[in-house]
Amino acid sequence: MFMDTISRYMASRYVRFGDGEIWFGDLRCTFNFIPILAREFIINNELDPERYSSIVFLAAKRAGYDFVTKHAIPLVKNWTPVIGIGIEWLSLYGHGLFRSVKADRENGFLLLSGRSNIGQEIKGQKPSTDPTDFTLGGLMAGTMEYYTKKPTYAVEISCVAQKDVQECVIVAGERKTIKSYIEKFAPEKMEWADKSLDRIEAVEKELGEGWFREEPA
Amino acid sequence: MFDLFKRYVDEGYMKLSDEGFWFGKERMIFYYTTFNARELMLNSKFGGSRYLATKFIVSRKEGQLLMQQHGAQDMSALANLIDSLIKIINLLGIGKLRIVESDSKSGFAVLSGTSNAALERKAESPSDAPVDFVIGGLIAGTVSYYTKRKAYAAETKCVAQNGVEECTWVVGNKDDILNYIKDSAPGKTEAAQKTIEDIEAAENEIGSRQSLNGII
Repeated sequence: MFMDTISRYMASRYVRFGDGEIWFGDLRCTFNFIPILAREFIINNELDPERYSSIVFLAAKRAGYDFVTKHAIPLVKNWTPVIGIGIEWLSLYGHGLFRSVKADRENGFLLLSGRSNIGQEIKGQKPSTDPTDFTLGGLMAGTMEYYTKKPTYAVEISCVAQKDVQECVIVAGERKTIKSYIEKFAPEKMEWADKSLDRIEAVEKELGEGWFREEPA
Repeated sequence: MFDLFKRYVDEGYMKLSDEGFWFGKERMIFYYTTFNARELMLNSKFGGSRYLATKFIVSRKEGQLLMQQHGAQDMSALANLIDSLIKIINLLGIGKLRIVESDSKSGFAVLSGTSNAALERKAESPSDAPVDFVIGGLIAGTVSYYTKRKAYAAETKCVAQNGVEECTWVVGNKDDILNYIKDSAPGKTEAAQKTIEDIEAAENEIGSRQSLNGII
């Protein structure tokens, strides 16, 4: 599937391979070794649990926002098909197989389920107590925020990096929407959701207002 | 470069399926390099040198595994192994490197080139100090694999810095690195020494935590 898609994009010059460079439209891309990312997560999440994963979330959120703007998707008014494209690209890029369980345009809410390849690698190296995939949640939150114009977050409530868990579940939306969903359907995850959201908001505060939409220097 | 990429795919060494990408036995993921650069910038802002040191340590481990699994089988010279690493780095869109010098006997190498993550970092916000600890780690892992001894790396200049067109990594044991830099770029000796000390401190911290036992 990947080679067919790549060849199609290459024919239109949307994907370009240079000497040591790969470009998707205006964005440079790199293959990353998942074992490095997993090991980096395990170590840094242990050394700096308050901030590390929140920064990963926020950097990914900005990448999700860029995904919409740099690939000229803004012309689409409804964000739910954009999430469909995003999920297809997640699979294409090797993040894992995901599906949208529920996407509510009116309320800016998304429920995503699937298997994260990084999460599986983390489980192989050292199973985690808490969910670990802040990148996927960030990518989705950034994409949604572009359209909803409301502060959007995501909480992973179960993750394949955890022992005996077979599927990741990510809830994205405004803080109150996320919490009301979790309160109703997974109340045992409320404490984790609060902790996770509080940490992200604390880092956002430290970064200062406007960092998210700052244009590059 | 696409021809090389396609050859790896056609030969089945690079496998692309719904289950993800595989490069031999290693699972891969495709990221926007801007994401890598931004995450590095924010995490190093908060986590400082310890964060960068952990980036080096995990990449060094990966460099060793890469050589074990995909590297040159010709162990007659360190340069053979580094050459195979350079090809992998190029193929994966990480950057473009060349060997400036290498010494098999002492397990020492100097490489120059460009790091794509560092170029993105410069576009985002130029850095005061070198930023690519991943490439440094991958080279150090390759050297470690060859010498069977722990290797370090110091990036003495980096394209993430304003006015710099090429990165330089000095790799080997601590003394050889510092002696080389003392002669070739004396103004960078102190920074290089601190980089290596930061890596050693992070190694000790990781080693002292039972919860991280066996990760590195």
